[in-house]
Amino acid sequence: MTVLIVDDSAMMRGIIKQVLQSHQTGAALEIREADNGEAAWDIVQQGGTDLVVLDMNMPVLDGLEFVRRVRARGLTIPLIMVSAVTDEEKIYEAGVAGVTAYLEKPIRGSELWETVREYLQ
Amino acid sequence: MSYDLRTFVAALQHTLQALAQDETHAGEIEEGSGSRIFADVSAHLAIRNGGHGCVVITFSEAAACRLVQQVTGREVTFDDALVADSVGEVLNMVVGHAQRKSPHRFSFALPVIAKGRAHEVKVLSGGYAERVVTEMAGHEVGLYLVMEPAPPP
Repeated sequence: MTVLIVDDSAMMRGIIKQVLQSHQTGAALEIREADNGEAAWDIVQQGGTDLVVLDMNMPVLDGLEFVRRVRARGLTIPLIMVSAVTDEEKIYEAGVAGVTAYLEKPIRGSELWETVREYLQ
Repeated sequence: MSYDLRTFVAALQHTLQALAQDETHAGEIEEGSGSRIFADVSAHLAIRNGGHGCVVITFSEAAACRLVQQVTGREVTFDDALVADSVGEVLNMVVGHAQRKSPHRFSFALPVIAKGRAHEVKVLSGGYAERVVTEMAGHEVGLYLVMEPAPPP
């Protein structure tokens, strides 16, 4: 299974990757990374991505626009948004756009893993 | 509309505890009246809700390296790219957390990060309005609220 991590912060990509790698059991997850929504879109279009963990606020193409593009293409890939944004209207907007789950930063590793595991099954 | 720095201070302590597992001790809120801001690593971002303001976070070199070490488990030098990146991400989380706790809705932009020993942080033109210096594992982290100057009468 392939998980794509999208965040302009290298530190956050490292944290999320560490959480996924330390919790995984069974077959190893393949983890790919992108630092903005446009780069992530290029990867998703290649196919083979099973789940995306993404930030909301990013340069070039932000998380919400990435989600809209994915859903407009008819793709049903689980999209787990992990963001520092806590504005309820923005979170609602993310849900309307097609985000599968929304977690607030700083994330709890166990919560992230449980969410990813739920939607990877 | 004014922003309450105490909301951001609580958010900073929550964030540093969650990320670095470090206890922090926040000082008193000090009024700046236009005082200058200096840092080894800084990040600032604009916040808006009617009034325009800016939240600035400053780390000493030791504090920033400590943060990365606590998050990643490895020692780093000041040159490591994660040093600047982590400070920007901390500010993101602080403002996001404060956004939830604040009685006033506000939006915020992407952070601007700077790294350079003893650089001056210049945002808006009025100098800082309020600041709190927080101690994290013996190192200083500053949190500043800078407000756009009021228009002339």
